[in-house]
Amino acid sequence: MRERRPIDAILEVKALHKSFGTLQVLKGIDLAVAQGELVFIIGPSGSGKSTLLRCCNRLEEPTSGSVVIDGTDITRPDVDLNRVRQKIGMVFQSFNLYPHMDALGNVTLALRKVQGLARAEADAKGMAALTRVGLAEKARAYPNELSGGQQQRVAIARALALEPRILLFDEPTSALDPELVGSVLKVMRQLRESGMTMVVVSHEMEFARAAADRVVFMDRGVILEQGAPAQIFSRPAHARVAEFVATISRHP
Amino acid sequence: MELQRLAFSFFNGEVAARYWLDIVQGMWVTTYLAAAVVVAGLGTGLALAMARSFHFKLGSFFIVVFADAFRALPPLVVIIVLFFAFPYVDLAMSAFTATWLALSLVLAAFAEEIFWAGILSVPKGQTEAARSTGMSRLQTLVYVILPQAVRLTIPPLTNRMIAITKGTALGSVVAVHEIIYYASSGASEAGNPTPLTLGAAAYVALFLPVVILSRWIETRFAWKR
Repeated sequence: MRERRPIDAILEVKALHKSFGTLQVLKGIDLAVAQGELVFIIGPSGSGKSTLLRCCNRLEEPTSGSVVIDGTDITRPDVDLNRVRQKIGMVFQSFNLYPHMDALGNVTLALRKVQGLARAEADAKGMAALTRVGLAEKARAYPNELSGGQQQRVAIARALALEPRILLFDEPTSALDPELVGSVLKVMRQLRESGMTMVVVSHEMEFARAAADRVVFMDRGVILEQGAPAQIFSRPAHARVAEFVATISRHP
Repeated sequence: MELQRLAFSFFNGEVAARYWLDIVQGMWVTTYLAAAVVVAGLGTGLALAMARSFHFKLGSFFIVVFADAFRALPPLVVIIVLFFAFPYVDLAMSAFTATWLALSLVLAAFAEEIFWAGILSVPKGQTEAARSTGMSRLQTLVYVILPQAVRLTIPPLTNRMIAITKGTALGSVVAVHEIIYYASSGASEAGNPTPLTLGAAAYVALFLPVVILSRWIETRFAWKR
């Protein structure tokens, strides 16, 4: 498998299908994401964007097809899922911070329990991750004491602390008040500048236009069109894409 | 009103002086029987709820059958069956063991349901977040789900614990030397119900602190999200 993948693809999705019962959500997705690339996935609700993302760390089990992360086919039955998941950071729409732990506790839990680091070492790594998202001074704050934007940045730090090869963002700003979106996007931009590979399901068009290398448009379980942001947003080949872009530009 | 006769029957100082030591002995037995029931019942209930959260079909089926059966059965019946029927299948046990086992099984059944409800009440996103960082199912349960679930289960659990541990009184029917055993045998021996009054006082002395403690724990663990 190794020799066939593009030279520096971190994520390679091949012929991915996913059905829930009789409902086919993904109908054969092929997508390769290169090292350091920022890929935006857009599309109408129900088009399968989130399901695709969730198949990439097997929070959803693909029905068929494969997902190769950094050379490891994670859909193989003998794969050590808990091991590969550390290399795939995931950020959720609703943050999903652990409410019974402070920010540092959230960030260091997997470092201590999965990677087996001593508390001091985990705390040092955790503080470094919180510093990257600009929240070192909130290390001892509990989630309910943080704003939505701060909670999402802690969630990003939680993923970052494990030094992932790729970060998956599932509508990271959709649950945020408009004035808090900027702080999260700022962190994402910094991550991109530091060379982090990212796949983002989001409708933050301005951000996509400014920061994305590629925009992927999904519709009814297939990738209908993909290309540079300028192409997708300004002169898409498909009428459906143009229609969708026009709609969300009016109601972002 | 016949206050004097009431006092003679229920608050008879002379009878009380003769029997209070028996009651204190009974308190000791009641205390460690109740403690043993709480430890075994809550431990088993928690273990069953955890096992159920792994969603093995057959395992979950048996857990549900167990929980439903022992929530439906009167504890007294369970004690009597264990003590009087089990010797016929070569599983004889002492009255104390029979009472402990019966009450532990009943508490385990209720505790399993309460813990399970607590586990279900934790949003699915918590599991997803934990699993996405590479934590195993057991780690996720222990470090992320249970700490949140247990807080929600404290009020129903303490109520159930108090109800079941008071059921230690049922041990008197198979002659476990707990409070009620001494109180009722004292009452019939003396021909005066004052030992029962002592017994009641003993229960209040034992359980009132527990009730107050549970109230304190509830307020302490009440939290905002």
